[in-house]
Amino acid sequence: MKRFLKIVILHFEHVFENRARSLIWFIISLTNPLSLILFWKGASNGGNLGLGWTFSSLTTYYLLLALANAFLTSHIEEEVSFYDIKQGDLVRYLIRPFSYYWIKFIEEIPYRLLQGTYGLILLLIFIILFSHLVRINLTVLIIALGLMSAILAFFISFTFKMIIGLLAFWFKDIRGLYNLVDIVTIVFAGYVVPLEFFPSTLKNVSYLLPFAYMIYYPVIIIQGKLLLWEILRIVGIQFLYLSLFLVIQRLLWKKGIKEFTAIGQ
Amino acid sequence: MAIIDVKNLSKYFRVYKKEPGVLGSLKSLFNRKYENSKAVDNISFKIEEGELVGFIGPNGAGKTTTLKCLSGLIYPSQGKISILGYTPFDRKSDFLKQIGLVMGQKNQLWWDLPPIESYLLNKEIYSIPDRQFKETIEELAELMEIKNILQVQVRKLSLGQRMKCELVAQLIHLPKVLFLDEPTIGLDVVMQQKLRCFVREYNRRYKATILLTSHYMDDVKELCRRVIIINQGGILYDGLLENITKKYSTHKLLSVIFESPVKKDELQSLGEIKLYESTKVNLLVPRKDSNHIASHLMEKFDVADLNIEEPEVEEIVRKIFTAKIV
Repeated sequence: MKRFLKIVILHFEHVFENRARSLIWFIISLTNPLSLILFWKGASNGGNLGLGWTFSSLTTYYLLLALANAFLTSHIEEEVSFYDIKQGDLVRYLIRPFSYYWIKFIEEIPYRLLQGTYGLILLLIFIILFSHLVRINLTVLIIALGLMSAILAFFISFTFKMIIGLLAFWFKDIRGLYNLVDIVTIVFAGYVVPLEFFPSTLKNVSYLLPFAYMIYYPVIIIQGKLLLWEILRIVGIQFLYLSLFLVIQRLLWKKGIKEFTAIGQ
Repeated sequence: MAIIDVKNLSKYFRVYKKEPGVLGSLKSLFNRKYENSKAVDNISFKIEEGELVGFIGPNGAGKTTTLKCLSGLIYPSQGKISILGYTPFDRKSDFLKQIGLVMGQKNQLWWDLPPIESYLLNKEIYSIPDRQFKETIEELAELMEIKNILQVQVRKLSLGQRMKCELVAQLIHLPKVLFLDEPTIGLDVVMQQKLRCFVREYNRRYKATILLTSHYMDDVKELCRRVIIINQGGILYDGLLENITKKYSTHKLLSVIFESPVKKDELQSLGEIKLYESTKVNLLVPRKDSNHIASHLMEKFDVADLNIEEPEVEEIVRKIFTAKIV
């Protein structure tokens, strides 16, 4: 564990060298939630939106979503597929006595924490300037369960993106695939509207797919919109998805690594 | 027991063959033809502890593919490899802690941070105790003359400095087996020389087993007693470098300086004239007759100086590569 922590800390130094780039990516990711807040301000006329949602709770939702996106959404698929597998950078990981999955995980943590800090700063600014628009009633239990769900969400997101990236062992170019995954994620992880607003069929589909468990549910839990038994059910499903993805990731790695040619190295 | 033991190693790559033109593209939509391209074809060799072996061959000969198989990066199609008793592709932690791979001009250091930060990362990854790390860095930095640049951003270093730092990064865990793939590529002659000295010293000091590929014959001549020559995936020669000349060179070069000019006609029957400048002549003669012809020249002409020279190793190797001999 000590060794693990030391490696994480060393990677922080690397990420701090790229802090400006990280900030720009964070700002880019804000365009969606901020423009949706503006949209709902006009559409709701400041009133009740139904299904227990008000303009202020929806604003809180999008701000928490931006925060969760910064903290929890991994973007390793391009690095794994393009740089590591296609360009052969995987060599430098394979030659070292450390698991590829875990070293990529460690590399990702500082980026998420840095971006998450930007997200927290944004949330604080909103709380100071527009306190009436941010509605969060936190209890210790909600914080604990929300954090647990968030950690699981990050693991699911990371492992899922790793799986997408590993497909590059077999396919020449998977950029189309990860763009498709991004679009599906935007819809089914609640980036556009909370999933409660979906028609029932679409809502049921979104509950079955893994995307909501990567970001949506931790946000909803923190907003206090779920009962305790519902939270435990979500956490249970998150465990199931994580286990499934870990098995798939392991199988793809074992098979795929035999296809690796270390081209360009 | 040999440290490196390779038996019947083959590596094939599946290559897609496309017919030329639009029609070929259309056909390939429905029916793609694949062929197995042999990168390494049934090679076997053994390397003992502490040996420094040159692995040479032209581009595409299979050198790097072999090295990748030996270091566990790619999966062999056939054959068996044992390194320090491990199968490389299993990539067991204990195996990886005992090997090092340096690929020329490939950056493994953090670009935006000083080399020392990458070394610290390797220290943790390889679980090197603090004291050993300090001593090793001290020793390697001194040997490589990089003490003054350990705290400079990698992106600010010259290619030569970077290569030295890369090499140190791969040696922090003091690997018992080291694979060097074109370590001097792109470096100027001074830096090449320094790197060679370092490799030799590392081999001597740590009794490391080293397999080196290089396009520069100087690297091989200066460092390796034994060479393995590979071409088109197969081994053409495996033995002492000095024996290549005896085995493959059928001729010797007589370099003669005469006291007074000698007519060309008088020399033509003795061998092939490679250089004729009045009193200075280079004569290529059959190896077995060289002593006899040299005596004949001394007796018949006024010879100021005469040398019997072996052909350059580069020349022989070039001929082996182009299959003019063997």
